[in-house]
Amino acid sequence: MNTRLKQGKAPMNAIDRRRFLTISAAAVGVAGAGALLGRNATSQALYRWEGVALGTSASITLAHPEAERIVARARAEIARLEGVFSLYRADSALSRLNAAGKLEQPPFELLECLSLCGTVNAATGGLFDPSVQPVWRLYADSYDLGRVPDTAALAAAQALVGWGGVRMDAARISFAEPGMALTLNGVAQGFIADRVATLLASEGLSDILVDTGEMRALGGHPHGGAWPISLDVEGQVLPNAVPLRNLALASSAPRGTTFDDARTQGHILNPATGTPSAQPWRLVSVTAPQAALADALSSAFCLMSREEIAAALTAFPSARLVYLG
Amino acid sequence: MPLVRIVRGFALGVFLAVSSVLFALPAAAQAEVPQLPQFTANFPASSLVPEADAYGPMLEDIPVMPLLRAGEIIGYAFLNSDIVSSIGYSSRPIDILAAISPDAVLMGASMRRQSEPLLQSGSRALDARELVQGYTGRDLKPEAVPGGSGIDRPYISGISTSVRVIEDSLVRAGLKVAFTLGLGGLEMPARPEGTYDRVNPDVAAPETWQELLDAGLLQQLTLTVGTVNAAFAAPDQPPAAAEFPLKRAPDELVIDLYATVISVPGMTSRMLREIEQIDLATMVEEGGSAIMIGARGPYSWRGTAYRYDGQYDRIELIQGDKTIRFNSRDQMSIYRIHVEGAPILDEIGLLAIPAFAEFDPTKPWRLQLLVQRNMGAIDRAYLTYGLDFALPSNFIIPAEMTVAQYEAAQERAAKVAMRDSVWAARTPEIAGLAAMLAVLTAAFFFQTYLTRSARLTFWFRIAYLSTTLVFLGWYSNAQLSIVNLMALLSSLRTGFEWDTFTMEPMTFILWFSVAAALIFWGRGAYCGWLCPFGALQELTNRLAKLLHIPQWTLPWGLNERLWAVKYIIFLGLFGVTLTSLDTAIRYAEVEPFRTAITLKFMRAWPFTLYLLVLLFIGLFVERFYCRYLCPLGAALAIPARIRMFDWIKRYRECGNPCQICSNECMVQSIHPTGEINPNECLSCLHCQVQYQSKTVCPVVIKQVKRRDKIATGVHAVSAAIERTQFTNHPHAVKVAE
Repeated sequence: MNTRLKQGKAPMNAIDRRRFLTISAAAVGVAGAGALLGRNATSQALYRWEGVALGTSASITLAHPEAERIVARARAEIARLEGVFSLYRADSALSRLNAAGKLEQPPFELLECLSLCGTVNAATGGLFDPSVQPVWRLYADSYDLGRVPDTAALAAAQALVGWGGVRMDAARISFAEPGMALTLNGVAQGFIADRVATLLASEGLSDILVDTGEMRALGGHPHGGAWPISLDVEGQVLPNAVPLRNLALASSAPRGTTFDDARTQGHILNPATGTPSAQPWRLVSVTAPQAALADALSSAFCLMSREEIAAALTAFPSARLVYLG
Repeated sequence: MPLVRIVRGFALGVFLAVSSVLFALPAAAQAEVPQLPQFTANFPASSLVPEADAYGPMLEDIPVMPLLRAGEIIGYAFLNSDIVSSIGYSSRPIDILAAISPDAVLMGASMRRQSEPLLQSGSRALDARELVQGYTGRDLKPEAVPGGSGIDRPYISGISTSVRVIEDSLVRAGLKVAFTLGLGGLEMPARPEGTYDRVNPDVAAPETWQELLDAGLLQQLTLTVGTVNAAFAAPDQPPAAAEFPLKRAPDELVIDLYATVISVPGMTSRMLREIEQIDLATMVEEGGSAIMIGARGPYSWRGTAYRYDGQYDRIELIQGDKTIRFNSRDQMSIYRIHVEGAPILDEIGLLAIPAFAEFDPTKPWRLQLLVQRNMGAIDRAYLTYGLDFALPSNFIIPAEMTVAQYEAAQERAAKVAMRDSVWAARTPEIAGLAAMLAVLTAAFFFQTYLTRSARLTFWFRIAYLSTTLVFLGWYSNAQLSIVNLMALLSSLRTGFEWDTFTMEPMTFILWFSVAAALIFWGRGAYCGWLCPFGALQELTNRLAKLLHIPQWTLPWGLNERLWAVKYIIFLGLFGVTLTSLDTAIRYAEVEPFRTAITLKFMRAWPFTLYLLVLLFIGLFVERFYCRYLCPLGAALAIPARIRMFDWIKRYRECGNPCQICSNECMVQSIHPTGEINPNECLSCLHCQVQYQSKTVCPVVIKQVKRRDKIATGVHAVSAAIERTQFTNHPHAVKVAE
């Protein structure tokens, strides 16, 4: 019996809006590409799947005789990875880790992803920190009830934040303190895009754009040239702002989603202070060879000044800040 | 009559369209989009089950909404037509909202929508509602075994089809919900063979190691120092990882790993010795599988952690959305692979996959190898490498059908079973109808002999009509109706299915014979002989004549114009059917059949009054309803001209000037000019009796006289007969005499 209640729109689904902005901008590029693909030398009809990955709309577009089978595999992979990373599914590896404070035999993907988180955490001076989840949870729950988070509770939650408290090896992941929890919402979307891209590449495919909320281009545009990706800066569309070829793009809009109705408390929290970002950025876009890395960096950069970002980027020579403003 | 001609052209076109679609069989089963939310929106949970106070959100796997009481799930609501086909006699689904308890007992059921022709009237609709509510408390667990509980189906005379569809769809939908949700300890039956790909056990694998690799029966993953060092230096890896490189030559081996599904019989016998094969068979449980992993090189796929907890933490198998991990308890090591050209491998393990992991050896899978690098005392960096395996297609016996096809076949089988049981239950009636049809066919074929005797024809007809009324009508409820045609028309839009129409045997056989009769004789065979209401009218009119109630013959002009009325009624119903079958079925109450035949006058007074008025008029104007109002008669009359034979014999003198038959025709279907209107003729054979009558028909009388005269040898008259034959005119004969 594997019946689940339909996922309601959980308060933690706050990431949605930010994702939506990028996707709606990208959709133009993908749709255009689709038209070109259809007209291209290949007579293969275009196949486009649109669905959901980690609570966000996702899509895969490709032209292939066995497109349906390939997409079915990709969807199974997405479903499997949701079973690792999703905070909305109580049976996911991450949820079980958060609930129990430890996880035996962690999935390899969780190890890999946390390993990446450690890297970005070190390079950003701790500003990228998945262990901020207890504070995030407190914000979400409080504003859900229409309250400002209680100062004492905030201090207690803040005390649980700290990447150093996360211990892992191939046999076990565990937390130093009970009550600690992780969120991978700032990186998992990109991670899934990478895994789907790897899967499609193993099928011998190229010239595909995987969009799971963050984008990973496999090859370039089927018609030649790079994938033209548009950016959406709080409603203002910058058409074809980023050319993408064998590259990943991730964007974060700190105030795209807010905890409160007044739209002042942005959803990206500073793990050092436990408060929403004090930086003025409306959109931060980063390219990197891997979508997971771009995703993590774009999340962290929301909390950093231009100079700090430049400094952090020296650790990642292949990553590039493509929009900040 | 331009109107009638236009009508005919139009409806004939429709008729042809209907018959052409009859042979294309698009089967539209259950609705694509679940209707449950719409129905629950208009029906509070507490009305369905008094203890419930709300519906929960719809489940993902099956259109079912939990029934909640104070937030606790106390049962599950479903709509029968969402889950199984519940197409009734009307060709439209019977929609029943029902609830099932966690113990697979129906907690409530409510008829929400039905278009069944025979369930529309007040008391019948109420009966049906009560019938459906009566399912509350029905335990579905006994139904899960083949043959079901054997509970006697409630039987309401005349609406057995609808009742059976209600029973069948409710029980089967409830069972499907119970199976899917595991209610009452019921479990989904094992997936039927033929709906999934299977491993072909008879295919042998090639003999050498290289051939196995080439065939894809072995997959290889080779990692060198160079590849791994490069990967750990990638930007998403911890910077420290690059500081601890493997300090060996870049082309040196880290691991060279091979994998296959060893439990595939062809591979088992190729790769393993007999004793190992026996061990493998012991280790792999029924429905389970086993893979083989063999590797050389300094990096162990087993790792070291398994020595403490048994878990292999460096490998995992991924198939679809499933991840399978392995334990050292469920593995066996072998030391050598006895295949020509096999490399010497350091670690060879056969790893069992239990049945519950639902691993499918015919589907592609991926073995993931975790490569970790220690950076200092506790920090580690991780990389995952994948090896993709897909069993070559010659090892796979493909599925014969999809699950959807299998389910469609099951659905069909259920319908056939239901139909067979209905037909079996009505065998005596079917036999009776068959006998009646045989007798009628014989009577028509040998009408010349039958109609020689006016008395015989009269009493045959009275007897036959009485049988039609009592046996076909009141006993078997086999009264055709315009509603049948409207249901057919409606089904052409929503998806025609033979099963729906073969469900009611008497109606089906009658319609079939009507179709045949239309080709041979026209509408008369049905209207004149087999229509119970027609028989009722004619028999009551006979009684009226017996009582010397005066008969009114309509002036020809009026008669001819009134004919058009039934076509207008038919067209009107036809048009309404296009917009709404439900409305059309209400308007079809213009037919008094249901009141007179199916319900035997037991009906609300307006309906009974309408019927009595029609019968009353029928006492004075024979077959008044048939001739001027009957939309079914109109529908049958329209194709009447396609009949292939003209059985009714006429003389040239008929109508010119002889009007005897024309005046005696009970339905005034003979034009004053002598020809018979096939749209109106009821094939009563009266004019055929006259045709042979030596006492009535002037032509016959004359011929008889002529014959007599020839016999007496009167020569003068023979010349007159010559002339008579030439002009063939009764008056001419008189002149000659």
